[in-house]
This record gives sequence, C-alpha cells and structure tokens, in this order.
Amino acid sequence: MALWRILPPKLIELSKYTLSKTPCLYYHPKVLDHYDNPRNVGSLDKNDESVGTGLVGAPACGDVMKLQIKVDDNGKIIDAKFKTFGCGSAIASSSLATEWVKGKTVDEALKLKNTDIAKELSLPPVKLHCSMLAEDAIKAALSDYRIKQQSKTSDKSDK
Amino acid sequence: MHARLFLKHKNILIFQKGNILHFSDCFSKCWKCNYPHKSNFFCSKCNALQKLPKDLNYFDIIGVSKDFDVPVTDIQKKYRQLQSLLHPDKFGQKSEVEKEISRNVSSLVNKAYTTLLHPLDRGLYMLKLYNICIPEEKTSLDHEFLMKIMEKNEEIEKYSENVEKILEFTKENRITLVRLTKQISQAFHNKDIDQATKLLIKMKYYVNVDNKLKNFRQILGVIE
Repeated sequence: MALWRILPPKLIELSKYTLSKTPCLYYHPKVLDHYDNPRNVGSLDKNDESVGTGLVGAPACGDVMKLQIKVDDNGKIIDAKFKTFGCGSAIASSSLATEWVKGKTVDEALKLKNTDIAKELSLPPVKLHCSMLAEDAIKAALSDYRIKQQSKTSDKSDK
Repeated sequence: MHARLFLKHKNILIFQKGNILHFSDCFSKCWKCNYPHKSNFFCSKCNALQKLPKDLNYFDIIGVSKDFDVPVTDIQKKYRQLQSLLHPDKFGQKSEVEKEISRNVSSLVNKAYTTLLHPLDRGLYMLKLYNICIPEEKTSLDHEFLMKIMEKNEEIEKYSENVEKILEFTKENRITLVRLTKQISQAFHNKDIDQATKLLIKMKYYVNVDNKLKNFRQILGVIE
C-alpha cells in the first residue's frame, strides 16, 4: 500500500488501466458497471393491478430474481424494478433487462431474448444461464400481468 | 508365469495354482515391479505408490462408506492419514514417475476430501453417483419457497449493520441447515432420490444465505 502513496497520480491512473487488462479479470466492464450501479433496484406494489411480478430461481447456483413491471392503459411498460440475490452476472442481466423493457409495449417485451442480454454483457458460456434467468423473469412478470388483466376483465363482465 | 491372472475388472476370477479365488475388489499390476496388487495406494511388494483406478468414487478414495451420514471426524481422520503418506513432500527423494503420481493422487484426495466434508457438496456428489445433475436453467422452483428466500435476503440486507440481528439470523439459518441435513439423510436412507434432490436444491439457497451472513459478520468485525 505504501507504494501507492508515493506513486505520482498519473502513474496510478495508468496502473488502473493496465490492471484492467490483466487476464485475471473475469467480468466484462459492462457487467461490472451494472453490478456497481444497478439500475432500477427496488420493488413495486405487487397487489397493484397494473403491476406484473416475476419471481424465478436458478436451482444449481441458488440464485433468486424478482422482476416487476408497471404497465399503463396503452399496454406500455412505464416502470420496471428488480431485486436479485445471486452472482454479478445475474444482477447485471436483470438490471439490463429492466432498462430494456422500460418504454416497450408488453408485446415487444415478450420478444426480448436471453441471447440479446448475453451478447450485450459478453457473458461467457458458463454464465449464459444468468441471462436465461432474466428472460424467464420478464416472461413470468408479463404472464402475471396478463393473468391480472384477464381476471379484471372477467370481473367486469360478471358485473 | 505360474499363475494366470485375469485383471482389471471387478468381480473377476483369479486362477492361481489351480485354485479358483473370487475377488470383488479391483486388481491391477504395479507399474514398477509388475506385481498384481489390490486397489491399495501402495504396491504390497515394492511399496511404490500406485495410480488410482479410474472407477473409484470419492468415498472409496477417502476410505469411508458411501453414506450421507458418514461422520465428518472420520473423513478428517482418514484424510490426514492419507496425506501423511501421499503428500508430494514425502516423495522429494523418489523418482519423477512417483513424484508425478503423488501429485496427482494427492490432489485427487484433496478434491475428494473437500467434496465430502460439507453436507451440500457431499449430497450433490451422491446425486452425481446416481447420475443426477441439477440443471442450471430450470427455473420452475416452488413459488412460495422462492418468496421466502427473497424475503429472508431482503431482511438480512436491511439489518446488515445490526450485529445482534445478524447473529440471530445466523443462528436461525444454522438451525434450518441442520434440519435440512437430517431430512436429506432420511431421504437418502429411504432411497428417495427425488426428495433428496429437492432438499439439496433448498439447501443450496440456505448455504448461500449462510455465506452472505458470514460476509456481513466479517464486515461488522464479529469474532467467532
């Protein structure tokens, strides 16, 4: 540590650059960015009719992921929140997923593929299942929202 | 050759001077002196360290019965005994071949030991012996269980700076792990592999919670 203190600041900056080039770095910078500054962390009211909640888990790694979407009357996703307890790739995948679904319509969001997430984050093959988990979470949230909407319309027709 | 030997496989018949002997154990020849030896680590004639047969499982290697309930103290004792004989440090004066075998066997023993030591890894390894692997992408877990785990994790993060709460959660979680271990043992005992698989998946989640708590305890400077 003493060495760091006596190094001129510019050299420290340089060393940061060279350190990030070392092969011991496992995560892609984009993953690290999402991990350090996750977007849209939090919860929405799961009892709200316009909110769809997806809760999924990866049994092999013991990861759990919650993804929620809030949809307006025009079928557009106006808000998305997530909470993930798992590895960096799982957190980054779900963080990116919430970013992507925001502003999309429900139908557009359904088309989102895990391969897109994996490609954007340059996930290695052993971490592909994290992006699949994010895709499953979106699908689960969308289907939860649809079920709520269907029961809402059937309630109305009953009346 | 006064003895005809049919080697290599289990349940082989060995014809020796006209007598038929039946051995269920694995036989192979010593790489150094060609003497047929039982699947021990050392040749009984020239005492050279032997390569391990490929079909040995971790329980065989450590020398404990293939049982989920095998006492940890037994595993530790056997492991220490083995490494006191097999460790590469013991082979500094030996030939390159033996040094190489020692490195390989010793690292295999380490792997077997670390796998069998923890109930979760031991259980998952036993599933592997039953040809069962927990798939990575199967996400259809019990919704209620996932909810519980989610809430537990959220609660822990909420009180991450509260030493008392963290210690309380640790205690709670340990009790859950002990309970799960007992249930898994029962499932293996009843040969209910489906149930064992389900319980081991749950255990994985609680082990993750345990690691998380450990991390928080370290940050808070809790000495155990």
